Amino acid sequence: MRQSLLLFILIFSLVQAQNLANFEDISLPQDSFLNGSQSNVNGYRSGNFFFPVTYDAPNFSWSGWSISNKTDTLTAGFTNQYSSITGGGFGGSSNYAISYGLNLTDFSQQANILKFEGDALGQPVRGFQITNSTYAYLSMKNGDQFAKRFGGVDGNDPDFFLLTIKGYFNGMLTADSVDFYLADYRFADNTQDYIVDEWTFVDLSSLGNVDSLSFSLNSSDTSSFGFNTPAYFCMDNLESATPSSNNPAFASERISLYPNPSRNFVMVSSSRSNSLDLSLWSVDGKLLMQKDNFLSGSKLNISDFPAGTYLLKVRDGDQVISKKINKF
Amino acid sequence: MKNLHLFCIIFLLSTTSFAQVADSSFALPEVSIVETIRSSELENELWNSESSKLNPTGDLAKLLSQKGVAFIKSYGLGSLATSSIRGGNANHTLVLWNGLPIQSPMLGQLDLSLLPLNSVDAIGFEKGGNSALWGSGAIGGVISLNPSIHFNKKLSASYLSSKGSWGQAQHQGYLKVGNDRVQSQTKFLFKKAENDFFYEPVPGVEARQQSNAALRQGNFFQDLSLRLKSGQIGLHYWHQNSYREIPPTNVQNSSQAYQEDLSQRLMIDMEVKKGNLLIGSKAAIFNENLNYFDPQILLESPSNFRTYLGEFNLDINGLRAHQFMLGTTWRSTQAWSKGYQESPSESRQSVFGSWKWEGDKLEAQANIRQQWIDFKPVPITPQIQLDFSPVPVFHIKLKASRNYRLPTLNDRYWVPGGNPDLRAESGYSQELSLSFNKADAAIFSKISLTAFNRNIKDWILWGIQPGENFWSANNLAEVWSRGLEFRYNKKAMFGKIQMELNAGYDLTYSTNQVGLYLPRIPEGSQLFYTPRHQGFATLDWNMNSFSLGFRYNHVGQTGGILISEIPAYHIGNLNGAYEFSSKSIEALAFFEVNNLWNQQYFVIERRPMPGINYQLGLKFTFTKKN
Repeated sequence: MRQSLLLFILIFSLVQAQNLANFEDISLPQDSFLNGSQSNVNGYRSGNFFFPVTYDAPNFSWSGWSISNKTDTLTAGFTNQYSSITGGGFGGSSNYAISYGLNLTDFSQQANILKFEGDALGQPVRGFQITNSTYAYLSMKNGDQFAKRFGGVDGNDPDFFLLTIKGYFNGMLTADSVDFYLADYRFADNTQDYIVDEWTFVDLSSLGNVDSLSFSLNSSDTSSFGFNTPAYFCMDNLESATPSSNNPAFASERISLYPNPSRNFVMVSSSRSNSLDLSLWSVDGKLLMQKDNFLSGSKLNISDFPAGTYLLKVRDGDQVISKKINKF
Repeated sequence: MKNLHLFCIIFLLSTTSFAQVADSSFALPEVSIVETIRSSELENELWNSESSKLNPTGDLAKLLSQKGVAFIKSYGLGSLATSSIRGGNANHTLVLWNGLPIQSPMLGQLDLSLLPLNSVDAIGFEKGGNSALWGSGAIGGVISLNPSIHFNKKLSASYLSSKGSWGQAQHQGYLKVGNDRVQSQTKFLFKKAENDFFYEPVPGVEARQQSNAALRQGNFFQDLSLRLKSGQIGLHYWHQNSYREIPPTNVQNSSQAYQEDLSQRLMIDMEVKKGNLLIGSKAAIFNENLNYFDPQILLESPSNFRTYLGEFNLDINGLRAHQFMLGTTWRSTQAWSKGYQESPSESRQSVFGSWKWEGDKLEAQANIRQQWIDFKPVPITPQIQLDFSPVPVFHIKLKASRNYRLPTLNDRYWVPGGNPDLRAESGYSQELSLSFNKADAAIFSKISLTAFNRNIKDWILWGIQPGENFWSANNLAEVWSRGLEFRYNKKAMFGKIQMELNAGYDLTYSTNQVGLYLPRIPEGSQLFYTPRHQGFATLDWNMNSFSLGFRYNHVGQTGGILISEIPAYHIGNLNGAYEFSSKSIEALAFFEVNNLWNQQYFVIERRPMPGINYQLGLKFTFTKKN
């Protein structure tokens, strides 16, 4: 009986690992990256996923997916193109992937793709963790000699940096696509403008069963030569769905809060439901606020509460998930 | 070293044959060097150091703009400034120093803000295509920076100091000494500025102060000339060292970038007249560094090139009304940069010839050039022109030419994106000019109208090509430029008062004839940063020792790569000078008020230009006649 249980746990873990690309299974020296410049490399495998990369040796140029563990969150510019703004992978892990591709708004889409393999092939995709690269983040935050500071001269420009993800199965585009704003300055209230600087879960479950994904970027800062915002983003923990998706650990990840910590609002999103029941609690157990039928992806106003840590309970279907909110 | 040997051989070959004409006699006859066919083409004088009291501290970019010669694409006060003439780009204006091109072979252009007027004694120009006479890049026009040597027994020295807004300061001076056989001219110039002006980012938004825009520049010039029995030989040296900070755009929080430009230019030239022959030869070495640093992004981008140039001309005059000219040029360049995988080198050779006939009412000229780049021929380049004066006050000028621009070293070898297989940009241009002038004892007036037309194929653009993820150079575009240029000049004397009015208007259509996908350029669209409408007016007033000048410039709306409309702007400047003298010392007090009505404007989007600013200065000149 004990041996059977161990075997079950082992198989369960193996399947789970194979349907998770966390890039820790790719060997990297400390503070380094892989960008396809090694001979005979056309991509990298993590779990049951393949991340293609194209390296143009004569021009020292790459596009597609690089694998990195670089941690520089301070240096601006393309000399620091392999770092995430979080200074590492999701949840304190080391390795993560960086996507780069010149996606030329309006007049050419040169999307990056990744492929599902093995047990993940044709499975429903759950989602992945995303954050900005240091290069793109600092460019949007501060501007550079080519790209603008988001918000523009007076802070009112409705800038955005948008990632669109599409799913494919047997070469056919699935019905839906998912948009994720890596930066969004379109709010009438400029205090709500944000640039993603944490690992944030992107729910792809609406894409259904897929065998590949495409990723294309779009920015409001454009010129006749394409868009000016550095066309990079970082990925970690890509998961395809498994029977274990009702596991409470996964359920917790279905709910994302952004930004967190926050001063005025938190956007509450569920990867499964459009309608949520929320209750906000203080750490000493007092109910502070309750909202039923809260629309997933909407903002929860916390501006009236003093700085501190709060507990948000989210009823998502038949499950209740608790998450911490830090207010400053 | 091989280049140095070749350089010496070419120069010695071209000069030793005529060395015996030098005479050690002290009783030298006055030499009258006949104007060559090429120098006569650059006789439109923009500026000279002796007559220009009102603009003693300016640079070439400002001069070209105020005189209506070119549209100056300026990235801000003290920052990069390049020219566009007749709808061409910065690579289509050829700048000559003593007759040799000084554009960077890596970039194909020259930063005009780095060229102080003090660097030369006279500046001439000729608009339109002139590749047959001057070679690659002479598509929009040619600007000529020339020293002026007078063999006389005088000692003169000068010192100028000026101060201006935002820490602008300039010190310059010269020492000229010599006799009727040898002349030495030594000049220096140092200027600095903080350029931390305030600007209004957009109407209604609080003014901001420009940062990281300081400038330091030093120049040293030395000319040595020796008069021969029937000619002269000269040595010219120009050392320039510049440090410039690169300011942030108006949508950038800060910048720490800066650029260092270091150039050393050495030239030996010789002119000898023997009978009907005028022999000219030049040899030069240009060594230049352009180092760009941006500590914020850990970028260090040093670069250097060294160019050896040689030129030999033979002009034959006095064959009745005919003049002939034959010439050859040679140039070898090697460049170094982190952007190159190796250190590319390039050689260019050319032969050219010219015939000119001058009748009573008609002048005709034909020029032709064959150039090779790395010993591969560029299509042969012809040019013809006619100048007809049915009556003395009326002139008709017709000019037709083929013109070209060779790709730069960066176009060919930069990694990523350099393309060694690029073709030269080339095409044909035509122009017709009508001018009418009238003169009497007190009033001179001239009015002219020029129509031009030019097609350039294989226009080189950097952009992203489908399937690539980096910028690369390609022969992508075809550009059709055409337009009208109106000029009016009137000089009048009313007793002790002299007045001169210059006014002009340019209508320029310069359109892409091929719609491009990448970069996104619709067919028929006007080139970026190329105004359709430009106008200028200058009014100079002089009475006894007072001079006053007003300069007005209008630049019409342009399109940028980031925004479709960069608004038109009007700029007015006021200059004044008062001259006084005591025995052998002359003094000049001068002032300058720029941007009189404090116009907030942009030449390049996101790059603010300064509002009203001032400059005051004094110049002392000591002259002793031996």
